[in-house]
Formats: sequence, structure tokens, C-alpha cells
Amino acid sequence: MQPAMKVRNPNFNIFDFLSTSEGQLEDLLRRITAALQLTPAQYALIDQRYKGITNYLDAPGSPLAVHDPHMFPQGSRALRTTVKPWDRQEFDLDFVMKLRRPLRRFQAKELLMELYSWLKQNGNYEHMLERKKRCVRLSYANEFHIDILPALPDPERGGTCILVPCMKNGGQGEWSPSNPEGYVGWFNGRSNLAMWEKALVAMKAQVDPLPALLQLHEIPPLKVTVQLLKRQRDVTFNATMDLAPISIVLTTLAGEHYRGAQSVTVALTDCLDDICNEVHRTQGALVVRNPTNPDEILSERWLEDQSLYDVFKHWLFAFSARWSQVLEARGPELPRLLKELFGVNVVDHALKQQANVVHATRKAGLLSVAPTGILAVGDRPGKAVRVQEHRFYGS
Amino acid sequence: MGRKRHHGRGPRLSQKDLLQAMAMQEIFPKFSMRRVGRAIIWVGGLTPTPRSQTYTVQITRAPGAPLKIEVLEPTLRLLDGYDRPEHTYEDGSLCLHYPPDRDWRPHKLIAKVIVPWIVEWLYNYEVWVETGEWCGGGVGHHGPKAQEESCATAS
Repeated sequence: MQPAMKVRNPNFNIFDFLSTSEGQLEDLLRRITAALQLTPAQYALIDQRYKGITNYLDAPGSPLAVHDPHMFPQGSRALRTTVKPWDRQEFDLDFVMKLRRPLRRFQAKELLMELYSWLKQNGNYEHMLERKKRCVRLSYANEFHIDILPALPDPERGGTCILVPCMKNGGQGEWSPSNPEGYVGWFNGRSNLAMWEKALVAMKAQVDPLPALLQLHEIPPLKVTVQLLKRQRDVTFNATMDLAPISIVLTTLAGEHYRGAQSVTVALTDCLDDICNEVHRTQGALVVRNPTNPDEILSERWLEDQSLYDVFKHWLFAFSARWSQVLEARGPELPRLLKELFGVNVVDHALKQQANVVHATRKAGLLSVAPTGILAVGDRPGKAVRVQEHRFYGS
Repeated sequence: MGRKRHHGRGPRLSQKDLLQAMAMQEIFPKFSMRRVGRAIIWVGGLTPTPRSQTYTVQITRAPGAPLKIEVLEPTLRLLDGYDRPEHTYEDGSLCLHYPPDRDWRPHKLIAKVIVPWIVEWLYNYEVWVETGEWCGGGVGHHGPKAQEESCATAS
């Protein structure tokens, strides 16, 4: 078992992010992940593409329309944990097309082909279309891929459970169990554990000298933790993404191990500690299931190929070791480690954003220096001195 | 005996120097003070944030000369193509204010005005040396820029 990493005094004030070492790291992590979010323009474009496809599935002549198709996002798009692609990596968005009232029985391959053929008949989609094992992929050049997974309701398991194609054994394929809608509900529930919700209320009640700071800290720490795990994965496996642990597995592991921490620093530390411990305790490969449909094994690839699980373990332990260094890092060591883990651009972006806030704080007359020489934001009691108006000179 | 009260050798501190010395002692007690001729030199450590390294800084106040602020340790890192950091004079001392603005006047207290500016400079230096951009605002040596820009942070 690995010893648990220590995070001292996690109860810091988000608005005074400069005067504690926890607060400063937290502020940087929040800014790093803010830079990883898709932009509103990107979200708008995705929605536009998605609506176009939805309309086409229902259009006159569509062989699917009689089965009442319903398209909805699954995975990171639905969970809001998508991260901007690293380097020139492709950027996938997963959607499910569920036939809500299928009028007849479908073989898995048959439904996949039906969806493929209908899209193929459309001049817009024809040239960007690709049939994959379980889904149909539309590749929008220089934008993203949209993967559409055809699905049927699962009459046996009921609720939001569905059946999706599995073409592993060839032939007409099989149906395998899933529950993406249930999963979203589970993950959002885990993200908003009572402990975090309470912390958020307390945070909102604090006097905020700089309103943008609250906005920065409002995203649930679990979602940000998932983004950091995925980003580190993307940075590490840049050229070998086929070997990388898949997003849904990382998301599930983080969701299961999140304990309601109010800070991203603590949430990521808890998750890494606990996942490492679970890996140490487990003989053979971990089995990660959809918590809302235990028959869906998300970590299937690890069961099929032990070497992929070994690669995951290696990555996890290396990340965990680096992360414990980040918690203690001082001086140039901190940005160096963060850049190594999450990429130069986003860390530079975070540092500059923070410096802009510090500058704005000083201009608003709210920056001070404690007798220890440490900067602080907000009105300070005692002997702290306010940083007065001035302009640096020289170049 | 009386000499010790006046911080060592040399002539007595002027009333103005005494005020400066008392304010430094009061607000930043970890700074040490010494006198070299008629000049007063303070040396102390400043750590702009708990994640920063500690910088040893020297402030020299000499009659008839502008205040001189130097970072003694560690040796400041430089970006490629630079022979000294942004917002420094040719001798490497820090340019903390733009004289025509008159934000600094000799009757003001070093402890209350200059030291906080040094801390702010050090913070911005750390960001500059990592990112290549100075985000603390300021005026270039070639006259005021059109506006005080903050850093572009589009990623």
C-alpha cells in the first residue's frame, strides 16, 4: 500500500489564493482546467452538428423514423468533462441513437448498417462517414468526430438501460448491455455530494472582491479532477493513444473514489491515493463496471489484454508520484512539474491569468503584503501593508 | 554608548532616516540595517507567495541618489535573448516606479511603499520568467505605452 499523500489545511479561502500554498496551487489548477474547457463557440458548433443529424434521422424517407429515434449525448459531452485536445489529437464526441419504440427486432449489425446506409444517402455526410465496430463515425475536418452508437431499449433490465451493438464475434453481432443516461445521473450525483454542495454555499456566502473567482471555483471538483486525469493521460500517451486507459474508465474510478472534497487539489489527491490502493489490493486486472448497469464492464479491454492493464498501472503510479511532488513543490519546481504533467500552454495560460488577477487586485487597492513578505488579497488585519498605486518602469 | 542607539558607526541618523528605520523595524522586522558612510542599507528576505522561493533583497538609501533596489540572491533567471529581467535598470536594479508619475516621494516610507512594490515585482518576475510575459503593467523605457495592458492569455 502506498502511504496516503498529505495535503495540509485544505480549508483555504478561495479569494485569498496567494497567501497559502494550498490556495495558490488550487487557483492554478482551476485556471489550468478552465483552459481545458471547450469554448462556448465549440459547444454551439457541436450542438448545431448534433441537431442537424437528429433532424435527418427523423426526415421523410428515413427508415429509422418509424422506430422513434432519439439522439442524446453520452460520455464526456453529457458529463461536461470534455477536454480540449492535446497536440493534434482527435477529439471525439459520443452520441447514442436509441430507437424508443422499435417496431421489429433488429440484429446488432443490421441496425448499425441501417444507420450507416441512411447517413450515406445524405450528400453532406457521405464523405465523412465511417462504419466502426460499435458505432458510425462522422469526421468533421479540423473540428471533431461524432460517434453515433445505435441502441435499443433493454426490456429485461428496464429503466434507462439500453442494448448496444457488439461486433466482437463477427456475424450479425450481439447486443451488449449499457446505460449511458443512468451513468450521467450517477456521475452528477457523485459530483454534487452533500459535502461539496455545503462548501459551495459557504463559498458563495464569502465576500468576493473579484466575482470572476467564484465562477472559477463553481465547477464541481470531481469534474475538474476527471479533466486533469484525462489531460495527463493525453499528454503521456500522445503518440500511443491506443494503449491509453479510456476516458469512461478513468471517469468511473474517479467518481467512485471522490469523497466530497471542496478543493480540486484534495479531490485529485484522494482519487490518486485510493485508486492506487485499490490497484495494489486487486489481484489481476481491476474490473470497472457501469455503476448503473453492473452487466456493462467498462474495463473490458483490460480483461482481454493484460498488457494494457500493466500500462495503466505504470501510468497511474508515475502520475501519483509526480503529483506528490507537486504538492510540496516550491519556486521554479512547481511550474516545471505542472508543465510536465499538463502541458506548457495551459500552465503558462494559468500563470498569466493569475497574474492578471493580481494586477487587477492591486489596481483596485486590494493587494497587500504581510510582514512575512507574502502577498495577500483583500483587506488584511494587523500589520499588512497595502500595495500602493504605481507603474513599473523600464524594459 | 549613545552611538549604539544610532545604529552603529557613522554620523547620527537624520530625522528622516530615523523615521525610515523605525518603519522598517516595525513592519518588516526581519530586515537588517547597516550604514555605509552616509548611506543606509537594508537587507532582508522576501517570499512573494508561499510557493515562491525566498529572495534576498537589498535596499540602499544614499543622500542625493535615487533608492537602489537589488536582488542579491538567488541569481535571477533570464529568458533567451535578455541580458536582464523586464523592468530593471542597466545595472540590474529594479525599476519599481515611473518617476513622472510621482508615486514615490522621498518623504514616503520605504516600508510602506517600496517593499510592497518589490514583492509585487518579484511575483511578476516569476510569471515573466515562466511565460515570457510581464503581467504587472508598467511603462517602457521608451515612453509610456498606449495603455496598460494585461497579458493576453488566449491558449
